[in-house]
Amino acid sequence: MKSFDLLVIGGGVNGTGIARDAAMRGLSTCLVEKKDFAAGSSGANSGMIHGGARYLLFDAKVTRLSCLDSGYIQRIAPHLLFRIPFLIPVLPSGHELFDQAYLYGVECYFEEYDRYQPLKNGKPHTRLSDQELHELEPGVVQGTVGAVSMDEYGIDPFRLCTLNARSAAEHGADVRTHTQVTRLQRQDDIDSDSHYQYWRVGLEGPSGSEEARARVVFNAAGPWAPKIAALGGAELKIRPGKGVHVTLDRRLSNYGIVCRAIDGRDVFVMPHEDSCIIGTTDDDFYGDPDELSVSQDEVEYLLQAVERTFPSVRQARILRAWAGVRPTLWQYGPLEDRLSRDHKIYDHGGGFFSIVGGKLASFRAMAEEAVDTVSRALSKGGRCETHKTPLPGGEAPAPAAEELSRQHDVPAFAAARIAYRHGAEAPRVLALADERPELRALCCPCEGVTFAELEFARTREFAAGLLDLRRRCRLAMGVCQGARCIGPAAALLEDLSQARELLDERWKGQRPVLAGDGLAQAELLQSTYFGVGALQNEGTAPWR
Amino acid sequence: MAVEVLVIGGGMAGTAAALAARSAGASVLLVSRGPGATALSSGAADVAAAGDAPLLEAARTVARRPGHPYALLADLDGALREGLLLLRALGYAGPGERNLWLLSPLGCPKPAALAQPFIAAGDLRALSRDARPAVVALAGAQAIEARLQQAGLRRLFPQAPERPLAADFYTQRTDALRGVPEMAADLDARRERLADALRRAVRNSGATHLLLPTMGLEPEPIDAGVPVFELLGAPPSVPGLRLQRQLVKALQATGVELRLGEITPADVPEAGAMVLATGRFIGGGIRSGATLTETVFALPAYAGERRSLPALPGEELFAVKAAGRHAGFAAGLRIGPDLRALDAHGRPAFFKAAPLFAAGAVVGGYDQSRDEGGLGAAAILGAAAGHNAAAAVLGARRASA
Repeated sequence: MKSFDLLVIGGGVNGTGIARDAAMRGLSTCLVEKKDFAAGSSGANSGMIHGGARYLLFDAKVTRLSCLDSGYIQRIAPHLLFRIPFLIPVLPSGHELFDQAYLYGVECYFEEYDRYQPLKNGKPHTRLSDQELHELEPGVVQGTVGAVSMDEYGIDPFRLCTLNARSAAEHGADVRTHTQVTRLQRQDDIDSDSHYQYWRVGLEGPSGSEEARARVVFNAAGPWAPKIAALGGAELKIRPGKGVHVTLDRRLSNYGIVCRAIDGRDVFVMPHEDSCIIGTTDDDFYGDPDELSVSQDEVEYLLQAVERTFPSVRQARILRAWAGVRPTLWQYGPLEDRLSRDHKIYDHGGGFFSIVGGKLASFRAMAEEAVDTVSRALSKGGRCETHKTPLPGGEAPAPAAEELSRQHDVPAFAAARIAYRHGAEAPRVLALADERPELRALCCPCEGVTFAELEFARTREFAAGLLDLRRRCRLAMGVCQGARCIGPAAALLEDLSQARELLDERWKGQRPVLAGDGLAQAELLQSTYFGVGALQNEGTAPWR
Repeated sequence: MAVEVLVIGGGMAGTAAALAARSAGASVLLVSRGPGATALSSGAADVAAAGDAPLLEAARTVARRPGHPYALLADLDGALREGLLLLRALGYAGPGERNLWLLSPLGCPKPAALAQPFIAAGDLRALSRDARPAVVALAGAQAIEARLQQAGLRRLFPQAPERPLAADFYTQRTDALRGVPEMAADLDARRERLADALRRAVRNSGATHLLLPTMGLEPEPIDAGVPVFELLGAPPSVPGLRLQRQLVKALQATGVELRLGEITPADVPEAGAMVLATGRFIGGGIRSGATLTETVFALPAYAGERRSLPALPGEELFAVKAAGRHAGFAAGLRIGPDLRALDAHGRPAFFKAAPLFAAGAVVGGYDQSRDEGGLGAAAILGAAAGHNAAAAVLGARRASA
């Protein structure tokens, strides 16, 4: 039986962040995740490290923390962040004086936000006339009152979690994915070896069930946190909020554009890598976070909101719709949008803690606070270094894509994606292709994924199957939604067993939005896997 | 002078219709927008793939699924025979009375009525259980996909080699970027080099049969010391390109006039009868908007009983699981017993007094990706529609004479 100072439950951004911080401070750490890194809320958000301008009025503390931590995340993972300039057009209401005052109000608001921008290397806002706005983005509806700009950053949240987990493992943490916590029991009699009280943690993983011991258990299970708390005999309340996003097949704009939904809420359309994301809804969620689905109403609400400011969204091809659950702090009364995005650490006693709430952009600060708590409880552990020690690939600037492409004979497009996803580690990924030339080939032409990158994820990044590979390097996340790449990727693993599951996972997102040209793509996917591919006959020999 | 039969669509169904109408003595014009699903086809031709006897199984399909267009054919047996005959004329081989079992690109057994000759030769059921077939790995993604295919072979033939057979046809690092269609062109140009590479690879490997990812656009037998077969193609597939070329040749040889380009109701050439063979979504024959609609003449299309759709019809048309049965992928026109397309009132449709027939995937009621007939169904329905269209105009010609 293994013994740890700290056992962290949850492989999202909080769990991986805590595990990294703790391992770097010298605590013996185990990270347990029932599926894969970022398989829950951390992989189903807008993919932004944003300062939370929205919370400035009623939660300025959250804005400050988000901006401050954004700056640190930029420092430790510079390759993973991409700047997204936002435009906030003001549409005429019919009362000119009011409109001018409103635009002035928006500008004042972002002038206040400008105070925080230097923390995250953001540019101050600009006020734009209608003409200037259309010079920047002709797709915005004509006849606006004007617009205000602001700066935010996007990130690949899957990689952020993976890199935290990898760094934790490199600092000695025991990282277990696809491992479920089955039992959480406090052992009050003193451990004869260590003379400490401890938790007995039942684990069910790929290699069967076992038990681990930990002096402190940290519950960072996001929407599943109440369940984990209950397992340890504690009560934890959150107010889960469901957020729906829609992905479009291309970058409609190089700017993020803030639009107003029918109920007055702010909704945005923004570029994310090679696609565009529209988000988001915010509704109380009472269901099982393992069984999320998107309704057509939710998609229509988002499209309607964007259409008013950016009409051509109706001609765009929608790739998919997806949902996540925010583990928001419990509060009875406020509307969803007014709920605090602050985080909180709960001490359930006896070395059992939970962390809920917070934002992707402040994960590192939250992890620091969490490990400070653990460190106090154990009277052990050094100083936090996560604000200055780079994540893997962040140690130096990423090599230029053209150079990578030339040196390793891979397509320039793929080299650029590898440079983005792996930063300074890109040459390590491509070294695999130097040894085994076939790994140079593209597996997923939509997202520029070479087999080398898949092999790297498989051997160095805890990717256990096709579903994990998707999260490591955007396999099957592009315009064809896996029509091309799922078979070849399964071939690299020599394992078709997750092909159906990945097809179903992709299909689940496509189904609510499938129409128009998407039907031809889906028909081609069907014939690839169920027509010529005959996946339904796997393992049979019907003629014998 | 107006043509007697106008065929819209140059895939398998359109070509079958054009050839049938031409052989019945009608003058035929075929208008094609460009390659569609036929050009992406795998090299196999399904009639109704489930089970073991395609002709019988097709009859069972009819009994099982009344919405299937086979159910409407007055002489199903005759149509099946004619469709198969056409495929054979195009080089598709196989016993016809029972299915071939072919190795799919995913390494799974795939049934087919007929297949292109070097593919059909690789019928898995014809190999003894102790055979040692091996997939040939040439380069890049193909060499990786070969592992999955070899794993599939190993499940069927326990003594097959564990790994695909690496052949040193390619030598440059950058060759790893060659896709299978590019490999086909390379093989056409350097056939002897390939044969040498295969002979070297087979020696001491124990392999008794070789499966090649492609045998080129112009395949010829390869002497590698053991039998060499070709694998089915996933899109973009070489056998599909090959078939599309053959279709054009067949049309030209029989004197069908060919025209490339889009067609709208405003510029539909005058004709005595018309055959719509524009495909489903890949071909562009059916579109979803507020309703499901055929794209040239705006005829009504249906998915099961549904026609009007919400803006986002997904949940109405598609099953929850990817592998489920999807009404949406069997969407299309409704047709009458003579393969006449039906209008919004359920009556046979005309365009400027010309009766409209329909064939192939533009006709609803079957899903090519399931066991309901793919390329074979297109050939069968196409030939029948071509016959009926020719009969309509030739009957009128005789009457006026």
